[in-house]
Order: sequence, then structure tokens, then C-alpha cells
Amino acid sequence: MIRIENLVYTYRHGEDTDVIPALCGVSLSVEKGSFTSVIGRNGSGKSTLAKSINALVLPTEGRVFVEGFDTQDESALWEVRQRVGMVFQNPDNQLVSAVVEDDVAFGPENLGVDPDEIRKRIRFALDSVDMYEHRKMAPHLLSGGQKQRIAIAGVIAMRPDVIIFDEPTAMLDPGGRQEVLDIMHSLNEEGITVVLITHFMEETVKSDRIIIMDNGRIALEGTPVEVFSHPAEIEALGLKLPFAVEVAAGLRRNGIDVPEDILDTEELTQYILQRAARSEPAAVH
Amino acid sequence: MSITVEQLTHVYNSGLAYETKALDEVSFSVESGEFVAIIGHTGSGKSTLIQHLNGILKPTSGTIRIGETEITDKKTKMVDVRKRVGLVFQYPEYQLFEETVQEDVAFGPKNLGLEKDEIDARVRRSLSLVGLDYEQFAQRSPFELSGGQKRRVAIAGVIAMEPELLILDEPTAGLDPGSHLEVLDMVTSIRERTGCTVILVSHNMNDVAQMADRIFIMDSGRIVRSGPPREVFKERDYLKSIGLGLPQAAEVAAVLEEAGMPAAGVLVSSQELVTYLTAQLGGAATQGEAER
Repeated sequence: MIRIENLVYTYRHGEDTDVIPALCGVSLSVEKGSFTSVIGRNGSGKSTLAKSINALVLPTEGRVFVEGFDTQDESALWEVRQRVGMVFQNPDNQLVSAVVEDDVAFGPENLGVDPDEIRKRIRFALDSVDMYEHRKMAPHLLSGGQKQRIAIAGVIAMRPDVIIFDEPTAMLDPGGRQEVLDIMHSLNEEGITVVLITHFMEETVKSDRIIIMDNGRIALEGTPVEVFSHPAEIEALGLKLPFAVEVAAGLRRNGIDVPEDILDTEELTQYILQRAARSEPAAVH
Repeated sequence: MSITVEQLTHVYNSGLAYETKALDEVSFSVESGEFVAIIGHTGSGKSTLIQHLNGILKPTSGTIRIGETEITDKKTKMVDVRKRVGLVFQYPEYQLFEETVQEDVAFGPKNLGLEKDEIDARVRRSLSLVGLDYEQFAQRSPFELSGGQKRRVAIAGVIAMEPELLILDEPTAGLDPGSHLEVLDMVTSIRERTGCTVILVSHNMNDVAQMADRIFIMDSGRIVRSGPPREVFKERDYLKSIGLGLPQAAEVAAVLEEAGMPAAGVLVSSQELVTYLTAQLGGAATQGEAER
């Protein structure tokens, strides 16, 4: 789906001042239908990487391909942008209309999509984020999580194959974060390739793959179980373990052999309950 | 510095069709030196409330007393209030504008008309309080720093005013986990070293449960609960009904309790949960204690 080859990107400040490298030789590919999380400290290159995928940022060196289309090929720009949608941190900066359904229609209208088809797409997009009943409302009257879901619907209406979420939950309260996380997973189940950039470790545990960026390079990558089994590296990279992984590690230090594949609190509580049930007779004696 | 708020009401768009009561007869008091956290879902009135505490917003009705000064009194000079109440907005680094860190932090004290030596001393003190080395950072441009560092420079600018009351609105939003921890440690150390009163607005239940003396819970423009963390987080169902959750450790313990395990009380950290679970599952730490 996405193939990145030796990507280098440098920001230039002024004419002859320092050249600041944001990405220094990143290679990776993202499979169709997968859910990939990208984490890393502020300034590690996550957002630049994301923006290079839909050609908002063009490589200084190296190549980025989306379904075979080179992002540097100007004639393929629309092919790339149509396939890759982006959702940003602040929903207020992404909503343009005074009515929810107009906002969702904005993208397809600009593509010159036929009105009947637009209506269908609005229905589909708003259903996907479970906001169809709010279609006549003004976005500013919605909660943060709802606004972000409308922004996502606007992207879905463009029928992208990939959606890149750049810290979509950073400005939301816990309820709103959960809403958006659920939507990202349900879109992925429907076949959309998801790339999620986040600072919340808990949001990454259900990914197929986690990529950790540091200093413009990939520092660590693998499945959540693989990545989070390196606590010292995780901390050195300015990150931390998901809560359940941290608790499991603490229990292991106390001699309780918690399995390595426990990543979230649901799995943790399930394991504890099973184990407590097994050891009940011993506890009586 | 103590705070006393009585019957504070704020109505946005008064008289219009979309009139909204953002604050609805809010009353509370905060003692000098106390650390209070405010939680509540988006739109519950948190930001409106804190903007009243340094006079950015004027109440529709009600009174606010900060220390001995009634700031809702028309005769009160707002300059005097803002000297004593420091407000750190969300994403404060967007407000950095000077060419060097030194100048940015000095901006506030300069406007107070302080002597150059005093300004310089304050800049050094504030940068040290936010954990940035003066020699290393003072002459750099704030714009070439990392996200966490920028935010600390912005907070240093507020600290340089030497406020007796420090209010922070989601100071860790958008920061990586490492910087998140650094900013929280910084808040703790500022409070320890200056003795200022702290009000922290946050969406992170783990943080507020571990840091605050008291928590105010807001919903629909009212403070619906207030008390020490281990008290307010007892009401799991109620919190859920207003869109809030428990700290993760307390949530895990609550789920286990529902499934029949012994009650753990309100746990606020992963360490507390590990201790509780080790005891329940008969791990090494418990055996040691039992032998004693």
C-alpha cells in the first residue's frame, strides 16, 4: 500500500542558516488493511513522516510510493491525495461549514462528485462515525469527540484507502478519546489502512505494528508485544509502557509469572481472575 | 494565597437564543498552599472558571476573593491581580515570541517596571524552577527547542511574575510521555520551592489522583463533587454517568472487586496495584510480609 525508501527530509530555516534534518533515512512499508501506530518523543519526525505519505511534504532524498504512485510525481498528486486522507489534532481547525452534513460534503463537492453520489457518501461517512442523527447540527455545538468524528467523516467521504491520524485524541477528554479510538478500529475492520500517530501508549496496544521514531530514524519496530518487551529502550526514547504492561512487569518482579502478551487492562484483569480462581484452595489453607 | 468564590455565575451570549450558562452558582474555597485539580468533560466549565480567577472573564454574578482582594469589586486594579495570579493556558508555547529564551522570560517582569538586576535574577530563578540550565538555554531561540522545552520556557515566563497562585490548564496536552512526566515533576517542584497555591486542570485521572490534595469535579457549569482523590474516586458509577473514569489502577481494582475479589480501596498508582495484586496472588512480596 505504502512504500517508503530511504526517506530524508530537511527543514530549511532562512537561506544560509542551519539545515535541520527531520527525517534521516527512513525505510518502511505499510500493508493494505493494517493498523500501524507511530510513536516517539516530540520532534522525533513522526508528523513529517505522516505528511510525506500524502505529499504535504516532499522528500529531500528518497522516495515515497502510495499504491505505486510516486508522491514526487506532480501528475500523480491527485491519485495520492485521493487515496490518503489525514485527520489532525485539533478538530476546530478542520471543520469549515456551519452544518455537519455540509462539512462532510465539502471534500466530494470539490472533487465535482455527482449530487446523488454525494448524498450517499454523506450517509455512509456519517454512519461510519455514528453521527448521522447529528447531520443537521452546527459543529460548534458538538463535544470535542463528536467534532473529531465529523472531521473523520469528512475524510471518509473522500473514500480514501488509507487514513493517517496525527494525534487525533490529544485535545480530547477521556470519553472523546475512547470514541475516536473505537472509530479508528472500526474503520480498520472495514478495510481502511490506518496509520496512527499518538502519545498515548494505551492507544497502540491493538495495532498490528508499532514504529518508534527517534531523531528522524526508526528506533524500534515490531508488534506491540515485541516493542513493549523492551522497557529500558522505551524509557530512553522518552516513552513509557502502557499501564497494564507496567503492572505486569511489577508482578513478575514479585515472582508472579504473568504472561508476556498482556497489553491492556482487560487482558490483565482476565488473567488475574483466572489465576485467583486456580489458587483459591491454596488461599483457604 | 487563598481563594474564596461565592455564587459565581457566568452566562455566555446573554439574551440571545443560544444563551448558555457556563457557570451556575459555583461556590468553593481553596486554602493557601493547597494543590487543587479540576476535572470534567469538555464543556463542563473548567476553562471558564479558571479564567475568572485572574479576571480575564467577568462574572455575570457572584464574588471572587483572591487573598484579601475582592477581584470582582470594580475598584480593584486588575494589574495587581494578574501580578499575583499566574495563568498558564493550553499550548502556552504558541505564545512564545521573543528572539531568545532570556528575553521571552524577561518580558513579564520588564513590564512590571523592575530593575534590570531584579529582572535578570528572576529569569535565572524561573529557568532553574522549570529545569532549564541558564547558561545552556538563555541565548537560544525558543523556536529551536523541543516541544517539552518550549512549554517549559512558556511556563517560566509565567513563573517569572512570581505568582502566589499558579493555574495550569492541561499543561501536558500534546507532550510525549517523557516530557509529560517532566512537566508534572516541574509543577511539584515549583510548588515545593515557592509555596504557591496550585490549580491544575487535567483530563488525566492518574495524574490528578497522585498529585492533588483535593479534586473538584465539574459538570454542566457546577462543581458536583469535591474532596481528596481517594474520596471522589469512590463513586465509579456516578463518574461514568458524567463522562469521567477512574485512575487506571482504581478501575482495575474495581473490576476485580465486582468479580468477587476483596476490595482494594481507591488505588492511585501502578505500584499500589502491584502491591495489592501481589498480596492477592501470593507473590514473593506478600510471603515476606507474612513471615514478619
